Amino acid sequence: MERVKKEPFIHITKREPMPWWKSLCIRVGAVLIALIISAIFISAASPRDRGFFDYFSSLFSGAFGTERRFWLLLQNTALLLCVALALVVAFKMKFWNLGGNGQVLMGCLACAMCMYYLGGKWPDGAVCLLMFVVSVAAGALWAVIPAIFKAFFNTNESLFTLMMNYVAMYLVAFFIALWYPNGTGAMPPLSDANLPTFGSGQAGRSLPIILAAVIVTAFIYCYLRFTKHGYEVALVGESKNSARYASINVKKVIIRTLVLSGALCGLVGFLLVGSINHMVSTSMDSNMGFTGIMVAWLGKFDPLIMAGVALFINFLTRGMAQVNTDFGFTSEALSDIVIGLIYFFFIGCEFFIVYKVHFNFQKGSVHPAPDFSMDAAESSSSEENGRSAPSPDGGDVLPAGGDAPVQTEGRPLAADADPPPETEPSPPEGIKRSRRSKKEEN
Amino acid sequence: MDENVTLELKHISKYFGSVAANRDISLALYKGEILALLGENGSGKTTLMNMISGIYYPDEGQIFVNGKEAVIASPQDAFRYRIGMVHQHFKLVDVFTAAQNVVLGPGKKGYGVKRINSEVRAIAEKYGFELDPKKKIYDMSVSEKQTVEIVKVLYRGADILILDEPTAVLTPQETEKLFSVMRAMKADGKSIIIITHKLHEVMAISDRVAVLRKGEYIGCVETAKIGEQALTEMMVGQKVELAIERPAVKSDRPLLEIRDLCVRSDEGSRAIEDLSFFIRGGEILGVAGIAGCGQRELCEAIAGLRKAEKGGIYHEGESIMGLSPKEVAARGIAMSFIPEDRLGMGLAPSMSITDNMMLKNYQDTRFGIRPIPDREGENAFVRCAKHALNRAGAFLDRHDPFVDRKKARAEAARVIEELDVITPSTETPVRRLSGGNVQKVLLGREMLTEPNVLITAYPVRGLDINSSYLIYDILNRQKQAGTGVLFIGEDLDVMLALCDKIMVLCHGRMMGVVHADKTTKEQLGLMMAGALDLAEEKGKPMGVAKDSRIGEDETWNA
Repeated sequence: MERVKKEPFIHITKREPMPWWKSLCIRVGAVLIALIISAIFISAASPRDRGFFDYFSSLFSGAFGTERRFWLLLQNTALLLCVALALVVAFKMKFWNLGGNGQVLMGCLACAMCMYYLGGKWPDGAVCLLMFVVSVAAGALWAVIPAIFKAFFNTNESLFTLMMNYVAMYLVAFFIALWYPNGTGAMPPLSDANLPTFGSGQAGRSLPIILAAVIVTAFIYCYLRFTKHGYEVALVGESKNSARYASINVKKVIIRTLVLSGALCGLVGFLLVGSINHMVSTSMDSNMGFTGIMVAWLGKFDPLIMAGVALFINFLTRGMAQVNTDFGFTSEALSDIVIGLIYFFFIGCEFFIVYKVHFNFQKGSVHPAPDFSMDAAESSSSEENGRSAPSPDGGDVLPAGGDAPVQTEGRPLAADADPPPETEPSPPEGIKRSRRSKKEEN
Repeated sequence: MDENVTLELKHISKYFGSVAANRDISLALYKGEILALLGENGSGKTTLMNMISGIYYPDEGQIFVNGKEAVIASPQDAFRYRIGMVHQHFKLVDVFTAAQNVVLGPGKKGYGVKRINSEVRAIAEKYGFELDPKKKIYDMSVSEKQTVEIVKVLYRGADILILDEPTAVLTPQETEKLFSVMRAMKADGKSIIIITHKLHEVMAISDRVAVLRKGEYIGCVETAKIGEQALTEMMVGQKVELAIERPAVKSDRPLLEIRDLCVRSDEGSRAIEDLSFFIRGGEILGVAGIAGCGQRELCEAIAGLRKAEKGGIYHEGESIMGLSPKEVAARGIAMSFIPEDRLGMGLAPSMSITDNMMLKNYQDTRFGIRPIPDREGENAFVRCAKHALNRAGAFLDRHDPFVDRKKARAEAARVIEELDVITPSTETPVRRLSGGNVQKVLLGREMLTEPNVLITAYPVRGLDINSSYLIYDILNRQKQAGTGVLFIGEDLDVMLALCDKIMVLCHGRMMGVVHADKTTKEQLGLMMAGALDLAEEKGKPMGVAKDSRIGEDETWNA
């Protein structure tokens, strides 16, 4: 031919679904590697004399070090989980609700309004009840507006919900400025109509929130699994045509589901203001609407796995804050980078769970080189057999090429964490056969 | 190596996960021959061709073009080796003219409109295409679009042409025209690989046939030396009875009558125009027509999924026009619709078989609260309280929030057993099943409702031969049970054998209803193309039953 083209260097193929324990090993391995790399990075960058292992002790002490920290970790996990569950309800319907932040903020705002205007004037119990109702309604309202537009005009829900976040944020800013026109944009905690706690310690303050999260988790789990509504949500998400075929009123389901999704976000707002902060600020959502998306996807939309993911993410955030102080970083940028790094590994390993990567180090087509693959047992010397120019010993130079996986930084996750596979599909018979026939030919 | 071999595949394999789409396939294509690649759906024909045309990259094996090893990593590479593929789904720019579409892509010569037009015309004339280079794609019929695709490949200088199921969208006459063009190209020394699963076309056009089965290469034979029956056996791997039964059943009075139905398509144009026809109980009415001439809209309108613009739909004389499927079912009318897009409409692909079983009746779950019976000699107050309680109970009963998976699982198990669905369990997602089994699940669910009108759109599309025959069998059984079956089909041979009557549509208009045993494929072909109109035969419009059950006042008056 006029031009011999090099074969593609990277060859990606899809894997068979792997057993859960194996994918779990890969994920844990990815996190461990990410932690080690970040430990090296942090300890090298630290202005103080802090070593590799101090990083881990700081990380864990930040998350679990004291009783207070432990309860705060659980409390934050509970809130994040609630938001993620709210999103999952919509996601199951393939309605990409990116407006978790706004819905939480509206819940916060509605709750704070009740406290501000009615606190001290009405009995606390009545105000608390009203706070609950109004917060949930406000969250639902913020979700149902995009839902109505989606249902009737088929607008893009991602953009719409995203925009609603900003409206909510500036509404909060507006009311703070209205109530406390001192220019600081901050609001002092209100002392009336706080939600009841179990005692005065952090445990007592956190318990109601954790309890609420447990109830919400159980409810959503049952709702999605066992109810007609849950079935309809899944069906509309699967295919709107199939839903129509089953005589489902798709518009009604979209709106109803988003009311639930927004209401749960509103509930989080209610807990944030009524139980934790007793005031409202524009950053009160702590970006849970977006972190929740990650929790939902990494948790495979399963409430129980999502609880684990939410815990892990909060462990990182809180632990890293401690690392920041202990290692003497003045800005949070470095710890943010490290958190990003760990997320990157955590999410990136999903790629290696679904796909297999073959590297082709063949130079030209004369000297066959072994085919390095991600999975030692599965790697085949197909390239040397199949694609090289026929040479007398082509198939036997390095018969088990895949036994020497290369350690590059970009993809150590799967290679390192991969235990020797047992139930791996046997190397396709065709390979063996072609190898054999090759020998026979030669 | 043989001088005449232009393309040779050696030990080609391609895996998706652990599934071998192609396994150790070796195949040779000679200069100036037409090679038919025959195999059932999922046997790896298209995968193999995609590797030759650079869309996939083989996992193992080598490709030789004119005796030299070729590395085809992209469609550009394929063109460099003078290989061109015409895909099943056309890849054309709608607002461009034929000539503009032809020169799109990696051209080097520049874009002089006049020169291109004359070049395209020259190619068309050389091989006997009928093509106006200045015509816009959106003005073209399907067969013209296909012509553009072929000319495009030829213009780029391809010597090896791959046609992926080119006849699926053509009428018999258009197919014949395509075949004569292919013969002209063959005479010019081009090599052609044609993918198809229609046996009679293989017999008509090809020099040799290569058969694939489940990704494996079965063999290559000269067409002249083999018969259809033997080819089928190669393809399926076992003996298959090719005859389709048509049991004689005494047909009933009209079950479903359609009068002057007009339906709009999604784009707002008239998809169905003034259509009148009827289906009797115990007959299969086939609907023939080239793809996209209103079949989908017709089915959806009858099933209540699409709003009809005007006209009437009557079930045993009772109008069901404008009712939703649920409302139709509430009237005690058992009508089933098997849509053409099984996974997109009739089923939920990621859900389990169990969950798919309850698609239509999940709302029927009840707590099973029974009303408290009245007893003699009760005072008025107790009776009142009881009534209130009963009403509350009935309300609660209607609003049972939970789905009944136990019942659905039992139904799923029944369908799996009765129709031999091959699946690991009732909880397997439907999309993991093969095409035939998906269709069995869908049909099985609908059979459980014991329909008396069955609307099926392309029920055997994408199924292997054995599954297809099973589906025909099911339809025949329904027919014998007195069901009226509307069968939208694409393979005329099948329709001629299976249906009692065939209605032909052309651009949403009825061209006539003919008895399947008194018509020919050629006649149907002419009607499909709109060249023969029998709708006004004998001075009266077809499609209105003499013994109509629609009341006098509503009867159509000519």
